[in-house]
Amino acid sequence: MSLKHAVEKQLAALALPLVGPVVVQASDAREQAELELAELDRLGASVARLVVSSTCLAGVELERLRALGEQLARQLTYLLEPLRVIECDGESCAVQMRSSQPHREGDDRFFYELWLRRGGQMELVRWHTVPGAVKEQVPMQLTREILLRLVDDLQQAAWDLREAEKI
Amino acid sequence: MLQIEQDHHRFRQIVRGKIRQNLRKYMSQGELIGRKGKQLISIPVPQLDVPHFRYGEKGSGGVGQGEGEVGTPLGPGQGQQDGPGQAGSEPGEHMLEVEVTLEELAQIMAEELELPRIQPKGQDSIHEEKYRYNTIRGTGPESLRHFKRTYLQALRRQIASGTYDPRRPRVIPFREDRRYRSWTVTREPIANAAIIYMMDVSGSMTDDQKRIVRTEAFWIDTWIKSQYEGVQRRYIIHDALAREVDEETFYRTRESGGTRISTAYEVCLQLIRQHYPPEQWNIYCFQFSDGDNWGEDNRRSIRLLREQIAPLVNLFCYGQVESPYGSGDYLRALESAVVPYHDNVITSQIPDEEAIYDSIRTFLGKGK
Repeated sequence: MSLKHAVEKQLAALALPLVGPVVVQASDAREQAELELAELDRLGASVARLVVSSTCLAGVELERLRALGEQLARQLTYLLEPLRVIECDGESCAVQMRSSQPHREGDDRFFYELWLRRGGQMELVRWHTVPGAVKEQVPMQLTREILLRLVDDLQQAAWDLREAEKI
Repeated sequence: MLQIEQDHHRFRQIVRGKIRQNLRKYMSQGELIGRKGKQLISIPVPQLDVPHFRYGEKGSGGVGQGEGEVGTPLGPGQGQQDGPGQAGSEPGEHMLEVEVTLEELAQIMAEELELPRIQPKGQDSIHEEKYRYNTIRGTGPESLRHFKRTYLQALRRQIASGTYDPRRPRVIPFREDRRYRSWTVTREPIANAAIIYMMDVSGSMTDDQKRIVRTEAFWIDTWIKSQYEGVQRRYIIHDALAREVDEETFYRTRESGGTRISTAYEVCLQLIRQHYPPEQWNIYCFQFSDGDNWGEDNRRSIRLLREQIAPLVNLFCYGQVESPYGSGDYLRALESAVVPYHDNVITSQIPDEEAIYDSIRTFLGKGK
């Protein structure tokens, strides 16, 4: 069973409508997914944080992580805010990606932030910022379909990276 | 005082008033940076009206001519309406450019922002011994012989001794007539203040943020230079690593590394220890970042600032510029962990160019 199906199964087990915060964990042989749900109903979920951990990323080098970031930037177009690699840090071996243009609603700005870390974590969160204030984390509004696709794509990207490492 | 001097003085006062009026705009737009010369700065002053005659339209009669009632407006007749027109072919109205010295500009800024004069912490000035060839001696190397003075001395001697014949004006210098250039040692102030600029050039800082930093640094320089006899400036950039660079590189570099503010603090400390002993120098640090320091580095940065840098410097100013991704939490961390313990650490949030004016007032308003 893929990670996507494991997550789907966990979500199906929850009583609806759900008002969180609730942490949902699902795993398969190599990957683990953790979702912090703020809300969940039949159509979609309000997700405060999504983490997919993969053993494929355990000892990966920064350049590979950057390449993974660039691949994900091309792949995750359905978030409607194209992501791009913003910063790469050799010391902690981590890559920070963000929406290339934050979404604007008047003075409010929203953007996704995806972290790729050598330890094996891929973590997606969403931020809200207004001029003159410190940014704050807000839940992502995702349909169930998008949420599951996201989990699947992150898992697939980790697998692709492992295959590339072998070559 | 001559009439022309009075008029000139009055004109300068009007110009100063106009500059003061528009200072907020000048401070936020940064256009003055490109207009700066060595001593003077050229400022475009809009709406400085020089009194002149305004003529009526041709053929419309003069004032007081023709029929009319009391209260009838003078000017273009009815039926002429405003509306979009063709672009003209005549040159547009030009702004008046006035030149002011940097000291004068600093003074205008101080008046407008109500900045107190800086109270130096270190020595008033650091002096250097300079040798100036400005005296004459009776001995010295032949290469420094002063021929004119030697001739004059010989002439003086010959006249005094009665051996000078105006009909045969021959002057023959003896050895004791020879005069040589000599030097005196003077102590001149070279510098007594150092400004250390630090900027985050990581991927999240865009060109807009750097433009804000450049504009703010220009005004800070202008003020601090007006307060000290000599100012040295150093520039440090950082992402996950920091290094010292020249001014041009400082504003042009963009890196894609992570953000570790502590690395900039380490380079700053190194500079202070190597070049600027705090007991002699007045040290000013200005740091600019979007505040998105990578989580685990906050603690280390704050420890370095609180325990090592803040006690050494006159003033440490942190300006948090806002990137399209908003403002990070480093400002909040500084305000809770450093500002309460050091009154020379000042923070300011700079969301956009409009905020530069208030930010400079916050930074320099303490008179440190």
